[in-house]
Amino acid sequence: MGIIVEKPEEWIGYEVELDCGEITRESIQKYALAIGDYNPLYFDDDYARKYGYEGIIGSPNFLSCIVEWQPAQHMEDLYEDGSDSGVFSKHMVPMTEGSRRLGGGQELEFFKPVRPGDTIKCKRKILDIHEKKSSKGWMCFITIESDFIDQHDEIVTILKDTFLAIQW
Amino acid sequence: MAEKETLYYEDIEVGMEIPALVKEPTVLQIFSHSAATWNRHRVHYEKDYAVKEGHKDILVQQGLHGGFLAQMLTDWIGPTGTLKKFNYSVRNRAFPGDTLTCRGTVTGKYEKDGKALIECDITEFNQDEEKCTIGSAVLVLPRKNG
Repeated sequence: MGIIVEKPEEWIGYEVELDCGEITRESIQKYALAIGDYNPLYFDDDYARKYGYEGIIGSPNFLSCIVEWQPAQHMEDLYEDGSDSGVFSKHMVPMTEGSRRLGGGQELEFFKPVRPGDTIKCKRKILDIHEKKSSKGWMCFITIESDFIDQHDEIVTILKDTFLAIQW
Repeated sequence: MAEKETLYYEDIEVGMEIPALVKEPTVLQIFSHSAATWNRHRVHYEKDYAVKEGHKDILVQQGLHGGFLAQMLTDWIGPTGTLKKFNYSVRNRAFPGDTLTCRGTVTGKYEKDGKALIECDITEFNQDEEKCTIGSAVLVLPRKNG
């Protein structure tokens, strides 16, 4: 019986498939602009082609950092802290309302660039979930693998995310 | 803008420093990252809520920290290099008004499966020289003779 997650061990191996939809120039470029990264590979098709790409590409942690893909949740369904809930959320497992979520790190492996017009699906699997008591209260660690796959059924990026939920 | 000279595998020595990248996140930038990722987590845009959670201000997102480190790497390797692996983990919070300096060091170079690979350790420091984010990367570089 868990504190933050009701039965953490039952979630190990749980899998979902997210439809991330079509990647657009707009989404790629707004992300790059947010980083303040004006690399012409993300903005100038001719420049990108000069270096062997078909056109502009997405920046390294663009795919892995989109928090909510379409269709996003109704406002009322978010946790009180504004983070997304449900099995299609970033951290996948239902948690107590009193807990707070934070990112614990990302491990990324890149296989091909992501491009505007790509249709991406994301196969996610919970690799590990466990709770630990600390001096301040309880912590829950969740490790999830996300495989981002394009319309050719080829892997674009593999992500291993660690999330923490804390309750104290 | 003059185009960058190609960085070749032969130019790399273990121990060499990656050119540092300095970022000064603002409220506007932190907002932009949440907007671009559709991240509605209040700790990144609502100061009162962030303070209620125990922070002195809104927080820089994990992905923004990571984006800064990634940019340091891609700026260095240029359009002829590619990122193969990239790991990062935030260890200390950062806030609007902080000055974050991304640094890195080459820790290895080797050839594998016909590719020329570079390994590095990367760290993002704040203005007090505390480590905000730590990580590592594997990069693929072109060779001078193809």
